[in-house]
Amino acid sequence: MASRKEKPVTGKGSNSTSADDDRPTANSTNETSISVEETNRLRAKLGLKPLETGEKNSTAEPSSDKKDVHVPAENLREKRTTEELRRKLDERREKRKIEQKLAQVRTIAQTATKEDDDTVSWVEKSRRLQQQKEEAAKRAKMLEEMDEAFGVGDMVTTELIKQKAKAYTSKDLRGLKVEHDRETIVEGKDVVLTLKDQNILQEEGDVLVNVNLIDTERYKKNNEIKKQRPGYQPYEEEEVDEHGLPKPKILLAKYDTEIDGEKRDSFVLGKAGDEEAKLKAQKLMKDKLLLQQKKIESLESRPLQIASEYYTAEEMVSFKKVKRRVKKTKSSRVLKADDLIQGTEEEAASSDLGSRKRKMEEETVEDLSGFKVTIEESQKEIRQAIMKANKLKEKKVEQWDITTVARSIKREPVEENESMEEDPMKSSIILNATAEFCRTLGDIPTYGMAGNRDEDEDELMDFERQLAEERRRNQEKEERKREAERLQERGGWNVLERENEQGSDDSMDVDRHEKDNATVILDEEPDVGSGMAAALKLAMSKGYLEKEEKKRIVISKSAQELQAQRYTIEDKATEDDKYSRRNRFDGPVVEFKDKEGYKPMPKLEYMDDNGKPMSTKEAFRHLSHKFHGKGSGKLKSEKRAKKDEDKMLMNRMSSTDTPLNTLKKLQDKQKELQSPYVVLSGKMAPTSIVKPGKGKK
Amino acid sequence: MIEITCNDRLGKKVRVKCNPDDTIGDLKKLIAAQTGTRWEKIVLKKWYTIYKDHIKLEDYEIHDGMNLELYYQ
Repeated sequence: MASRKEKPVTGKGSNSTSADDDRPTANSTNETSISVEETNRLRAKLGLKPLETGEKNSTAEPSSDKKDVHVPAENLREKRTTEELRRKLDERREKRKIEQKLAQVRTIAQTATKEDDDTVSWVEKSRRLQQQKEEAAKRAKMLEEMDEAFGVGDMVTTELIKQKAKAYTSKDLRGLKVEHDRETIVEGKDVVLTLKDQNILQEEGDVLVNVNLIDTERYKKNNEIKKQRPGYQPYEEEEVDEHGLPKPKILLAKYDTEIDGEKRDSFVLGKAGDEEAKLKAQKLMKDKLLLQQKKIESLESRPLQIASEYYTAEEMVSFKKVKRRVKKTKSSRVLKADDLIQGTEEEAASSDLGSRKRKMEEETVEDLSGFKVTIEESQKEIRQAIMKANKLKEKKVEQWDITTVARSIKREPVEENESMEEDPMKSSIILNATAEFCRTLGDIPTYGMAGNRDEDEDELMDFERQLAEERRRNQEKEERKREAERLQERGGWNVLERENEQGSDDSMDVDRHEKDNATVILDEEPDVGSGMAAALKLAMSKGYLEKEEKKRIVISKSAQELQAQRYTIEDKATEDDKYSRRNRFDGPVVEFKDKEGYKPMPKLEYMDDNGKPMSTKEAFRHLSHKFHGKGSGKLKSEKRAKKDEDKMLMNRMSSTDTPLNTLKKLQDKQKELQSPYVVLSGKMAPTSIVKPGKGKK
Repeated sequence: MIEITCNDRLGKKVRVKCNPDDTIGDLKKLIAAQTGTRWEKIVLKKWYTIYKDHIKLEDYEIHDGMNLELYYQ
């Protein structure tokens, strides 16, 4: 139970009065809250510290340290005054200290008053001092006198001089370097040389210089620098030094000082220096001599000569012929070490070349594999020809045994020619231009293809021969048959065999023929056993397998031939037309027979939207409107429409009738009435007005 | 001492007196005592920030008279 006397902290503490102690109270706004006391109890239960209620605590103890403390503003005037006071105090203190210090120091007056109280003592003191001085002087004099008396003085002086002389002689100067040109130091003139300032760490010998000379040198150098022109001088003249000799030009000389450091003339005192000077003098002399030589110039011109068109022997030397390199063409194969060795051997062997003629002969004897081709433009052709001849020869030898049979059938005229030529001199070949030409002709593959050549004749003969043979064979057959018939009377089986034999013979004959031809055309039969490829090859060559390629070619060839027989350009055009789209502007290529006399009369007609033909003017307008995308205005188009209508009406109007067709109506009326007249006004007497035969119009 | 109003918008609205150096957990306990729910089930929120139990009210800058959202988990 909380005491109700406790004043609640919150403004809404009143509701807690009616509340049960444990239960939170709900006020009108449905908000529950409990009093501080209850909260505190709750907190105690929860183990929390009690609420910090400000009112309670404020009475019990001063507010928390967090509260602000009012600090009064600083009084500036007060502060200033205190500062001033302090400063004054410090000053005083300082003063006092200084005064104390000064108090200890004695002034001159004070000392005077203390020590030399009177003038007497001062005089005494000074007198004593003077006395001492005098005494010292007297003693010195006495000593001098003593020296003179014994003759020591002279000795000492001479010794001193000697010592000085010993310390430094011309001997000591030897090897010293003087950093000036030798010429600048003139003989018979005193030049004071001093040791040059040098770096302490530099361990070179001392260097002597003269200040004045250095100055002059510097002046000279500056002058030169002033004279210098900008770096690039394309048309620079050769500079000449004082002797009139051209100075050697140095590339980018202006950078030399920067790279190598400044160069200075110098000489060494003593022997070595003399040597150098001598050398220099010699060089100078040489230069001078050179200069003199140069100046010698003869005015005599060269003796006159007859101008020659040819070079003399001496001049020809300069036109030495450049030897061509000997090139070796070898059959392309993989290079091996053995080959290299062989090559060297060959070279060794061929180093002894001998004469060219003999070699040529040798080469002709040589077979192709070892053939060496020395390429020289003039001989190239000849060599080619020789090669060709060799080839032919080989071929002939190969063919000889085979062709012995075939020769009777087929004969190559060129070869024959060759053989004839070859017979008289088998060992060597005579090379003349025509023979070579013929020989090369023999190899031309197209030779004899164009017809009317020898070969054609051969072929013809071949055919004839075949025919003859066939005839002969047939005769033989018949003979055999007859024989067989004769034999049949004796025994049957023999004949059959014979016939078979005959057949085989026949086929063999054919085979042989084929073979004969094949020797020329076909290759040798490939070995089947060696592999699949070989077998395939064989099959191909035998014709078991056919190359598709070949077939196609054959077909196309035949087709071409067929086409070519009656081929005209016009045909081509029509043929193309079948497949390609007809060009519609070209029209038919072949003339249209039915309309032979037809001459087209082109006429341009333009129709308007209603299908009426337009005049040129209208057509133009129409086109223009179309082109510009806008027609004429409403008024204008209406006007035009009206005009059109009028025109149409005019056209429709008959020339014999009025526009209202009165005439027709009249005629109709007359037909109807069957009278030659018409009564216009009803009440009038017909006779009086209208006369017969005269209708109203 | 500060007073904080907690409102779940389901019919419970509590005013709780507490110290600013109380933790959120303590506050939850107080609320639990007042409302009669288990304090572990209470979630205090302000907008999208969920207040964590071990942090003091003053650190969250919760002052006198502030409204906290009361949720249950």
